[in-house]
Amino acid sequence: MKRLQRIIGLFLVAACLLSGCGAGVQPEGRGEQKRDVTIILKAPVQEMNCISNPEITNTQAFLERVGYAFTEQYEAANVTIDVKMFALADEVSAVAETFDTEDAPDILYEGYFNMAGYIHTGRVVPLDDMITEAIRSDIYDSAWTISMTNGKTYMMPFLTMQNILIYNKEYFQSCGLDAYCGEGTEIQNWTMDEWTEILDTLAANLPEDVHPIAMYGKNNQGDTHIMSYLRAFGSKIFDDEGNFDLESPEAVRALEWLQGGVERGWYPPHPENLEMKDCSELFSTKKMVLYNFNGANKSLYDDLNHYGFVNYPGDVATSFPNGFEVFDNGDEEKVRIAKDFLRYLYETPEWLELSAGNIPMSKTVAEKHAGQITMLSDFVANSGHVVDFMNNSPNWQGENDSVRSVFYPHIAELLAGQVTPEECAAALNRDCNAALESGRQRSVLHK
Amino acid sequence: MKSNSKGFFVLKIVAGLLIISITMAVYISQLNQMVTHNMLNTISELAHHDKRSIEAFIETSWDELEGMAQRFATYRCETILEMETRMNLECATSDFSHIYLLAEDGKIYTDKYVVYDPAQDTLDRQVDLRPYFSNGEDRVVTRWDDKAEAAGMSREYVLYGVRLEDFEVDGIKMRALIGLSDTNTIQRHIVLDSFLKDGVRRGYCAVVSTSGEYVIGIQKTLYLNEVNNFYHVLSAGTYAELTNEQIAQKLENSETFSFHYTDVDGVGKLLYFTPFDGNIDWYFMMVVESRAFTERSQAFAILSVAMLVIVMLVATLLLLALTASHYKTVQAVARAKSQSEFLSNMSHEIRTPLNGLIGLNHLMMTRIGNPGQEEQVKDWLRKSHSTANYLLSLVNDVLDMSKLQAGKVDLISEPILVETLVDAIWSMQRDNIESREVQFVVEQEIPVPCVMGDSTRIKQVLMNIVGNAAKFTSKGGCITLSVSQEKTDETHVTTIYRCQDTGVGMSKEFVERIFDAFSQERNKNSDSVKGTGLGMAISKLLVDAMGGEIRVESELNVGTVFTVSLPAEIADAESEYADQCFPQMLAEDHPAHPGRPVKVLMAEDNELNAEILMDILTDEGFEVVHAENGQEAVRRFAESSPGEFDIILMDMQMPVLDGCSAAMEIRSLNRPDAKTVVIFACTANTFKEDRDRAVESGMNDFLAKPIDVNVLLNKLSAGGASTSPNTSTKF
Repeated sequence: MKRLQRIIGLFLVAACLLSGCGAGVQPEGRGEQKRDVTIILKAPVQEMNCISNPEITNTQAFLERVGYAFTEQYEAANVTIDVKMFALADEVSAVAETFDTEDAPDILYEGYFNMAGYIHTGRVVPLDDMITEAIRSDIYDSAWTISMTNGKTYMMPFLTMQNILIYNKEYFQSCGLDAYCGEGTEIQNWTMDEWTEILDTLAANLPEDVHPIAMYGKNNQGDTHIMSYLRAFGSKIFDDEGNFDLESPEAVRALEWLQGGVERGWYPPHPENLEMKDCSELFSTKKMVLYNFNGANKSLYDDLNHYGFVNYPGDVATSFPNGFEVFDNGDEEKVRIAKDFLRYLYETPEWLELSAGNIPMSKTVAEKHAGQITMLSDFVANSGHVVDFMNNSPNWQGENDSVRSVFYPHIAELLAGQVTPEECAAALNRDCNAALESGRQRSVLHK
Repeated sequence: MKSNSKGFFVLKIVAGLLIISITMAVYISQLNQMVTHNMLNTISELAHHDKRSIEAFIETSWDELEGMAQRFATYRCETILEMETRMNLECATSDFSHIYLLAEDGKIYTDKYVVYDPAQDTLDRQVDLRPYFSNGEDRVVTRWDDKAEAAGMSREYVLYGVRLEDFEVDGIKMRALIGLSDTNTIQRHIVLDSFLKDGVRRGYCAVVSTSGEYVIGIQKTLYLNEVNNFYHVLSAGTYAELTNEQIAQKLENSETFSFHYTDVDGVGKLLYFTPFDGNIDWYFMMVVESRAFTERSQAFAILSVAMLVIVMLVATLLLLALTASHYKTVQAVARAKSQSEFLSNMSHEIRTPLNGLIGLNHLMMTRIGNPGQEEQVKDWLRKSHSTANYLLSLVNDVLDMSKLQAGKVDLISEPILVETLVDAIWSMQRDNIESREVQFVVEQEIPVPCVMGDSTRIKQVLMNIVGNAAKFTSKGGCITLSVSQEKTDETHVTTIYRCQDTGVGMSKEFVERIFDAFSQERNKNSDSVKGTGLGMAISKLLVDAMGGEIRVESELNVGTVFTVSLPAEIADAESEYADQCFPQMLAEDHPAHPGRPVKVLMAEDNELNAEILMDILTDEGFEVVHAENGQEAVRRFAESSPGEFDIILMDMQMPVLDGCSAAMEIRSLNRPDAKTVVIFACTANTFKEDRDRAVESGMNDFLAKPIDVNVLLNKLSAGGASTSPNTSTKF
């Protein structure tokens, strides 16, 4: 118990109590004539591992359960929470393309790496007025930091997932790489030389239809993981101005290293034609040794001893916070009800505890379920390797000229050997920075 | 009668509008049906076009797969990875998202190097495509959704498959080559642009299976937790002409059909279904919003209504023109008929007394000179005189009628002493009435004694009424003329003349047409039917012209009551007008020159008239000089010594020089009596303009032909005594 407390204590190093913010917010309009209101709550399909309620296995069940409970107790209006689940690949169609239509989301629940971009559209409302002192003090400060833009809170952190790599120990052992296998669920770090050796060894010794590591470039799914590889030789990706800086020697070297893997047999043939989902299936069918892992792959949990965990090359990990945004679609009452919904969720322990399974953003929940959350201690221990892969950049997701839209085609060209690493770096710098600049120019924050 | 006509006219208008409305309703209904029918044909053509396009695309996809299979065979891949790599490259250069090889054992080898084993889960799902090829199908096309929620993934594909024969890789026999294409690829072939308006599409196409699943929907299933089934969508609507069961049956029977449907948002739509050909178990569905139909029919309707309005406008104008023309024709016919009737009546009315005159003249000619028959001849002469007077009154009445009907009557507005006027009537009718041994009573209650009006015309009306009463009241009866007044305001009063008799009365039918011209009721109890039949018509026209009202109440054998109400302005004073009632009496105050007979220059072109006048005047002691035309009259006057002629009787219409011209020439002569000699116009033209013309030419007075001898003599006596013709004008 003391050990658990220590681990949590480490995770909470950056945490501090906030006071006085948004206390005592009461929903307006109470006592007025009840209106029928439908709140559209959208979220991508995602598995969930809820320790407090094993019946809830995905975000749909979680959101529907909370939504129903909220409408049952809400008195200011006759509210219906319409939960709409979409595939991650349909993010643009389900969210950005529905703006200014009747299908526009009032609440969005998903990863910050997609949600952050919407803040700059001016549609996401600040939530500070609904965050009570109790709620603010219960959430880790580090979570508030990444939820804020220009001093206002636009996202409500609920849980987070750390992105690292998982590997199949059996293949390591069969290829004579036992020495690189870690203990238990510890998250390892390998030097770049070790990485090269490991991948070369796997490529040389694995069966023909088993591939050493995931690589893909067909679409933008999983592109942030690919972006992590660019840090392999010390590139921070962004310069001090927040622009992409991929023409640095470290970044170009990383691109060379990635491109070289094609010839060295590290990836399935023609990875430029693959997408992350293909690699996911290859890993799940044991046709791939190393693949992305963020704790959401609960199907692996029963067999974790067969897997090892390692940070991305360069000892890098990223985090995928998940949380909520509220959109202003021109109906003040809907905005008010959406905020009431979030306040209800964060003030109700039963619903807040559903974040336990992944890494909860609530200190109370983390403390309560620390011993039950798979690899929580490992992730806490690895938190020092976590980097902010988005750098709070505008126009990251959504528009055709967004960073995510222009990044992967250059990676595909690199993997296909159509461009040199230098050319790829220059193209990435050019297009990604143009996307950022476009985003900055378009950026509008909701008052 | 007029009221009835107006009512009938309104009825016709209403009936016309009703017919137009019904016609329009039927027309628009038929137009809607026609537009719907045409739109349905259009939809049918579009649907079949898109369906054929999809079928062609499917054929092409199958052909592409078969071509791919042939190439794979030539590659002779020895390992699965080699095969998968070939598939990967083929897929990258094709429209397919994935290329699968289905092995006989059910395993699926993919272009992404993943191997699906139907016996095992892959990302929490089993992928088994064997059922699609279990019945020996050579070619397969179906909707296939790949849902791997564990990876946050859901994909909608159209699966194309071709059976492979003798195709093995690394000892593994392959059953089929499969290509998965994103539904968007085929969706591009069914973009419905025909019902676009302002960039908004009012229709969409879809492909559904008989089970109601959208093979290709209007958009892919964006929200994974929502039901995407046609029957579910239909059930959510508020109205559908067919039930889900009926639709399912029709789909099962491969029927082409359509029906109307109102969705959950209340938007009306037409759904059209047509099955695919061959072994494709799909239905092509086209959905078009009803407003696309109504808008099109509205455009037609608006155009039609506009055309109809224009046509109706033109027709109405034509009708009005025709009606006006017809009305004029009817009026002309009526006038002609009226004139004909008038002529007929006049002929009758004139011929009857003429017949009497001719007969009397004949009798007198045969009996004149016979001793002992002087009395008889005198009686015939009296009758002849009476008949001639009747003829004169007839002509006067006809002229009055003519003037009144033409609106040419000029009413004089002068102060009238009502009591004096009534006294005049009494004095003029007293002898006539009392000679019939009928009592004549006058009752007056006249608070406003002097009013403005035309006394001559009022007397004409009252004389007519009272004269009629006298005619038709039997001996011992009574005629009461009562006069009363009702003051309407400070300056106006209505004088009511009421003539009640105890005569024979009139039938109800005759009362209704008593004011028509030439209307007379023959009555055996009446001793006189003499009259023109124009009196009451003239009276009515006169009263109307004076803004008054004339009413009649009558009962056979009881009597008749005429009431004349005449509004009038109250005159300021009465005394100065009192002596104007009988201006003809002036003549008596001015005897002819003493010492010599009055010398008269008579200009008359008609020899008979000249002879009669000369004889009359000579008999009465006048000295008469005859001139046959105006020029001769001027000459004779010019040749006479000053003051030789006292009076000139000037016929208005004469040859060589007419009367007016002659009068002007006489007045312009440079001699002392040129301006003073009295000139009397003597003419059969009795209209006011004739009188005005005579005055303008310098004549003093006016004698109407046929000349009343007494009036003539009175005027001549007065004229002979006058020294200044300008001061004795009596027009």
